[in-house]
Amino acid sequence: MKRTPLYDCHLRLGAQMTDFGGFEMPIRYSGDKIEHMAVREKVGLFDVSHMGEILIAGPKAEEDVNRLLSNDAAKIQNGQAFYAAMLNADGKIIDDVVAYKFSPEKFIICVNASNREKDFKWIHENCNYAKDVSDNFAQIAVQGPRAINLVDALSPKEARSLKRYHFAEGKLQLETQSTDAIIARTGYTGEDGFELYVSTRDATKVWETLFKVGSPWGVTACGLAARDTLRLEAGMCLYGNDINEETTPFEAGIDFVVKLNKSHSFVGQVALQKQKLNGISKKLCGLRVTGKGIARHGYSIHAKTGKRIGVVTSGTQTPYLNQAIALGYVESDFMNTGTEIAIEIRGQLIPAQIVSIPFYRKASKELL
Amino acid sequence: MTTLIPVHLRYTKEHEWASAQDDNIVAIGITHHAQQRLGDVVYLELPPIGKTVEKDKIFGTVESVKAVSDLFSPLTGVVVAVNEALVNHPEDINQDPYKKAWMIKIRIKQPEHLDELMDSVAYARYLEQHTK
Repeated sequence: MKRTPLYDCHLRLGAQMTDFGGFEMPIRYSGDKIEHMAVREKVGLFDVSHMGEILIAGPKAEEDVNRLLSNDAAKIQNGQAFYAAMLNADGKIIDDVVAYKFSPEKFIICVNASNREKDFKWIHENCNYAKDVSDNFAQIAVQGPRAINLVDALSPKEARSLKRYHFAEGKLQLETQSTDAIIARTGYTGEDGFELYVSTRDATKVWETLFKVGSPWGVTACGLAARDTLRLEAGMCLYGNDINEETTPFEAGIDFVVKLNKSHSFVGQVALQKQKLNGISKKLCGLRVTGKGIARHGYSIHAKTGKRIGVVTSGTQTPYLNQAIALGYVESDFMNTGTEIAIEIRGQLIPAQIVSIPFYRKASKELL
Repeated sequence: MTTLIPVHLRYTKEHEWASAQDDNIVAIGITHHAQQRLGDVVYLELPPIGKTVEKDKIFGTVESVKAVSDLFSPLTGVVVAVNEALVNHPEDINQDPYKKAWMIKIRIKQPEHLDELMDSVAYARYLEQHTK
């Protein structure tokens, strides 16, 4: 199993480790709820070095990215990041990614760890120049309302000037040196925050410096368990659970990443145009268990009549809202908010309701 | 990380503990190691009083933020008490797994079966062999 450059830091912090996407990753340090709440109220640090990074470069880079991704790379400014779906010809999701546009000649696509090899193969086959640069980077996510204070201590210029979903190449000031970094105001928690791409060589120093400068702000190391409950509360999809090569962006409710009318055609476009015309038969919906129990991945969803109408793809008892929430695909007849349904939990049909996504939304004035 | 394993209890490979009380009554819960693996417990489902639970069979369910886990009975017996306070405050399983967080008490017919379970030394060795 692979390890990230921060592996020793995790052991020193007493993390419980688990296998995720082929990496030995921290699942928790102090506790799932403590870590989750730290991100909602203060600031949390996540090692997300397992994520893959693929460079697409050359004179035709923008054209390539526009062919590979559903979103419009030409409408995005240099220094801006965008969420997108990479689709196959059937319009099904190969991966959901964040693309960073440095210039029309240079993009970095951040991909899910579990999809790294599959994605690289696909990208390589479908564009002029691509390189898997994952091993060059460690990635640290600094997330929460106090994230800005930590990044401000290391990189004041970028911390203060970057708007949400923008990034810059800059320097992070460490104790006795500085190090190059891509500083991005992005994240996967529903909070304000940054993702720092740094060299594997300096990763430990960056992590430790963030801890030191963050201690007055209550910085907390956070594992994959908190990352999962945070993203679920924020209504974000997890590849492999909520989306996969059986689902389209329309079914997954991420229509905003699909630009059917962009100037370049993209893989999957024809299939999606057809689906837009014909409508979807299932949709990923927010679910709230109103009875007693917690819905989990794989549990079946039923109409009040008992008829099976779908399946839960992610579910938990969320620490911040303190409710049993879930995502799941339901037949489109039942997808309206407020529809009463039931979820089979260990042989019993437990009442639940279709609710809107996200379950948790940061007050917009607090999110830049 | 320290794993607490009280010497007066008996243990199963599924990380439940059993505590001998008076009158062939045995209290059952899950170990410090089990709660640590689960993470923050948020939900607990236990059998009603009067129900017969069987050795190595499922008697209930515990759920953390992260996962669902079945509870296996260390012994066969009839449920004589259920910790309702724990059902309402399942977080006690994380905070005090051996005292506050007893789950059920059962009356067993053959008290000698308790001795067939692992003692604290055997359980400590088992943990060492099966976890890193």
